[in-house]
Amino acid sequence: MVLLQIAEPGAAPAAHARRKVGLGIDLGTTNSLVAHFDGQDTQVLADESGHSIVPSVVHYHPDGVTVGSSALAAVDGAHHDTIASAKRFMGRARDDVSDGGHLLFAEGDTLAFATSQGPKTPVEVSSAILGALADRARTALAQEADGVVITVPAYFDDAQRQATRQAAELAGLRVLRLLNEPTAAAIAYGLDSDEEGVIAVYDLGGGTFDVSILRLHRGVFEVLATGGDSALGGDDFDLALANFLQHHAGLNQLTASQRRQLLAVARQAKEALTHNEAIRVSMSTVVSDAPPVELNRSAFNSLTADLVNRSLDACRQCVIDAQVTAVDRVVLVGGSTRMPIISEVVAALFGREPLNSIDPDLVVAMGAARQADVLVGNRTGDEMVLLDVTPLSLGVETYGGLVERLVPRNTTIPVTRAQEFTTARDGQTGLVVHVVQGEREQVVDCRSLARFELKGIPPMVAGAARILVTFQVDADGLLEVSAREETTGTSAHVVVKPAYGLADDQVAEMLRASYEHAAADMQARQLTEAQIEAQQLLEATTAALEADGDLLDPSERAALDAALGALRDQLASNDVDALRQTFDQTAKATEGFAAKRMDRSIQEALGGLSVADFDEELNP
Amino acid sequence: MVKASLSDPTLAAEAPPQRSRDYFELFGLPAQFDINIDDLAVRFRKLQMRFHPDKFVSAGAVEQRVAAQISADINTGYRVLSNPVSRARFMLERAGMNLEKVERQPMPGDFLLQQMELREAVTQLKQGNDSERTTLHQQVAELYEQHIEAFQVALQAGDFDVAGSVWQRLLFVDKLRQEIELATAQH
Repeated sequence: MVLLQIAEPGAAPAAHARRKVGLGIDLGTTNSLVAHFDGQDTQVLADESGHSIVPSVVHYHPDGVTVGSSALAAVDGAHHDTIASAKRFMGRARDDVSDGGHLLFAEGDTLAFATSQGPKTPVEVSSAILGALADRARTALAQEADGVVITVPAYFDDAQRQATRQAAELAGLRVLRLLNEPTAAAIAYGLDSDEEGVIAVYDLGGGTFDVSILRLHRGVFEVLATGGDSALGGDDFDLALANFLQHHAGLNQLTASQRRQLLAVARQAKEALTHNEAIRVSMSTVVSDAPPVELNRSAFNSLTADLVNRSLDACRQCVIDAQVTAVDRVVLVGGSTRMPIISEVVAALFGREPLNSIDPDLVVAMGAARQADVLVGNRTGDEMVLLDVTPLSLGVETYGGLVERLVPRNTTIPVTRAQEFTTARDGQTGLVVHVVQGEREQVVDCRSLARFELKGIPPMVAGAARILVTFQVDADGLLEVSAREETTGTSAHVVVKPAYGLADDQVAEMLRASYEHAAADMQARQLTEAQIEAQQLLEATTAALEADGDLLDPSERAALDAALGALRDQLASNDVDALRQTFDQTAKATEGFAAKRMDRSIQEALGGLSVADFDEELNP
Repeated sequence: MVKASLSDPTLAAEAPPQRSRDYFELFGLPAQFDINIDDLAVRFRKLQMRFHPDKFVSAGAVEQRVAAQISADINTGYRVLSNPVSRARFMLERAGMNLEKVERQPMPGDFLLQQMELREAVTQLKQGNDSERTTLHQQVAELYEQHIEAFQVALQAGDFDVAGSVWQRLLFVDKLRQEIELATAQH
């Protein structure tokens, strides 16, 4: 249940309130973690045997679902029922996947893994991992979480973010925010030191690479630019090394099981090279009579030079986009940055020795835990706010299959952008708004996010209609698009949902199934929830009227009072739908007043800004 | 009803619509071209500290929506006011100028000629040496400053037609400047 809050915008809840539980979840390609900040320390939560890292592996079997190391142990027994690296397929469709392994396509373009327990979508697999992490936190903290912050690669597109949110909803978690992984790492470092300035975060995970440049100033984390490659990670280094080992050991055809062994050998060899200049790699676990392969660090470095260079190119572009001349600190994130070559090239590029005082495997979850603590409503003492950016440009298809960009990449979010368009043909009465994401000029080279139709435009000559297309990106980086024909007011609206993800009713259906609530229970719960919501709106508005009632003229006040009265009358009824409808009308009626109150508080926010204050800000 | 299909390209871009919020007012600044960027940054951070959606996670839906819109306006306002060219554009719009018309008005021949020459020089920069790059960089930077000054003078005189023409030329100069900077950065 949501606690009632009657407070000034931005004000912290009362000090005596129960400390709420916010969790930071790093949902990784290879490993996942959950962390919690208790007001003093940030702790990565471990299982009974003390392991904090949960392998992102899910095993489906007749008795249920196993997640983590025990699922990993089951790989050889029934590998089709054991799914790893599902994150690589989040928000992806048939066309995006070149080598799907045992992926199948259920109902059109939706991806799923074929298991003996039926098809499992990447969203379901991720949901199982999130559920296991939530269970772990419940055991460790002996409390339910009030909300979670889940990290995603900064370079994740809209579809991948939507899929991540769906996975959390499916696991029954309240998502406070999707947080970009490099930003989370910067928070973990930034909050533990008083240093300010420009921070570069180089984040090489199992399956993704991100780079972000931030400015930290007085509790404001401002992301200046972000970039990366959502298909570059430690796994690619393993693959490059595996191919080399296979070739040098003279192994031709391998079975699927041998191939998996080979990848495991390659990963171990890569890790061994972190502490050794040269190693001998035994291939006997792959093929019993295969000869060992001699390997040294420089050979490994040349094998993987292309991968490293791809990451450096993204870093250079990010520096240009951020428009900074120098970087004060460099942070390494992700287990893959343990490869010695990475710190060498990163130090050379930025001219700074990278920081690694926080374990690169844990730092993202720890930063997310700090953000979760703030968002869940605990006062931490240190005021902070995080200004993130869109990683990729957003636009619509225009004449000739070209992209018209409405929101360029690295735009600070939340953001609203509107642009006017017109019809291309005489008498055109409908048009398709095709929403795309990407940096290329041609629509075919960008990712298609959504397509919706605006109908009922009165026939006019080409160029006479005025269609206003509005993009809104929220603080999670999620997009909503609406279109409106200005002369007639015809409008259409979509919350962009990946065409190949789960529809909302599918999620709802799965939720219902998983909760196994009787229909009557559900109805009762819905009524209670609606009543609580209505009660909150009434109390909050009444309090607001007491404080700022002078902002309304008598007629505005009368209209608002009438709306409140209508809602109050409806409260006693048992009709959920009628209550919801009245609630929506009343909520709408309070909008103008809320906007006026906000405007007043704009003046207050700046009111404290004296000349002396300003000097202090500039020369602390 | 004619239904637009995929192969039937449907949208043609137009200029952005009029903005509704006065960003000077939002940032508590006098509506003048000459602003202190550091001051603007301080105000930006103060406002976001108050209105960012993170500060409204537990608030009601209405408040969340209103605050999110203000936060978005703060972001856009900061971007618009930070950059002299977009700030100039905003001031013209604010004064009720039709910028679509301004952008389409004919330009002086000598200016266009000069632009063509400079553009030619920029495209050849890739083969050029450092001193050539520096010279061109300086030349365009001076041109840019001249236009910014001319814009301010026209604005102060209240002559929005002249200010509009200067801004139209400023767009060209700014594009050149960006191209040179990109070429230098990539070098």
